[in-house]
Amino acid sequence: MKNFLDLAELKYFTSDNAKMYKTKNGFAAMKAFMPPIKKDDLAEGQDNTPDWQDLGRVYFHRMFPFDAPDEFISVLDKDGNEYGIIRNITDFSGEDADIINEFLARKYLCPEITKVISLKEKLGYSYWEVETDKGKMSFSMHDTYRNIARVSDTRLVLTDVDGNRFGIKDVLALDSKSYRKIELYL
Amino acid sequence: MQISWKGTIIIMKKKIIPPGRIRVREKVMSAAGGNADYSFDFNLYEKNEYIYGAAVINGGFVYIVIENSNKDNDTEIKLTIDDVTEFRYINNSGCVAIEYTKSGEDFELCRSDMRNAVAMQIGSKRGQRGWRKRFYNLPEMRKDAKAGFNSMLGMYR
Repeated sequence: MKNFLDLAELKYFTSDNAKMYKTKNGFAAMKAFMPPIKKDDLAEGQDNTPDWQDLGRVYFHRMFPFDAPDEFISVLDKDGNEYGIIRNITDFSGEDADIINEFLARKYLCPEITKVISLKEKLGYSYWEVETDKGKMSFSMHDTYRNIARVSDTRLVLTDVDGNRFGIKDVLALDSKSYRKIELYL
Repeated sequence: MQISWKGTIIIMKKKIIPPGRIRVREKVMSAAGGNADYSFDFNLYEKNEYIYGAAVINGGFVYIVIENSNKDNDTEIKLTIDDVTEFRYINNSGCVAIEYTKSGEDFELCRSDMRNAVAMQIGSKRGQRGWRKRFYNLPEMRKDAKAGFNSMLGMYR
């Protein structure tokens, strides 16, 4: 009989027990040294000796996307079942870390705003024209106060009407003109 | 009221839509022979670089055009829906994608930011429905229903 802690056992992946690679079609995949994956409860009695196995395509998911983007990354299968956790990306080096970073960047798209060019409000919507690390962009926000999330003292995350996210790493580091424009909403 | 493709492109030109987007649309439409069961735009490339891209689903094919910096060298893809076993809509954080499975392998069809999320969601469903229409016939449905019934029975055994 398993106790609660056994059921909640976490598997941490490091460079010693996991190797990343890309599939033929460019998706992230992983080989790991771990007990055989149980597909269902019928596999309860099977041999649990850890061994290197090819898990195939894996998905990365940040557990703390704002507070710790490079730590506690969940490694999931296609159906969202968790294989284990990467405690820190620095546990991996070279190509492995590059693959993890690449696929996290692909999953979490959040252009960083560096300058606010113009900001107008009309009938409950605000219209933004900004410069980001991915170039000049414009977007509109509804209920601006609510859609600006203050995730730390200086970091902001803006969500526009479509659901796109824009980040401001350090709101105090913006130039004075830009800051004056968004100060109203802070 | 339904606006024709020509009409849509004229409206786009009047509304000062980026010329790259219009060009890609025109190109994908001509590739699809001027007809479209469904179409959508997308604007991200492999590593989330912003680009102009358009896709058209028409007559069992998916046509894709992706703008390259060299205008004569745009990427054009024609995919037969019959070869595809599944279209999936992937909802990421701040971006979306459509993936498909062909001969047991996963491929990415296109990516976009959330601007085209709904259109892409419908696009993936249309692709899947196009496939199902061809292969999901009555015996298949019966087989699925039977399997579902058996698994349901298994729950109560």
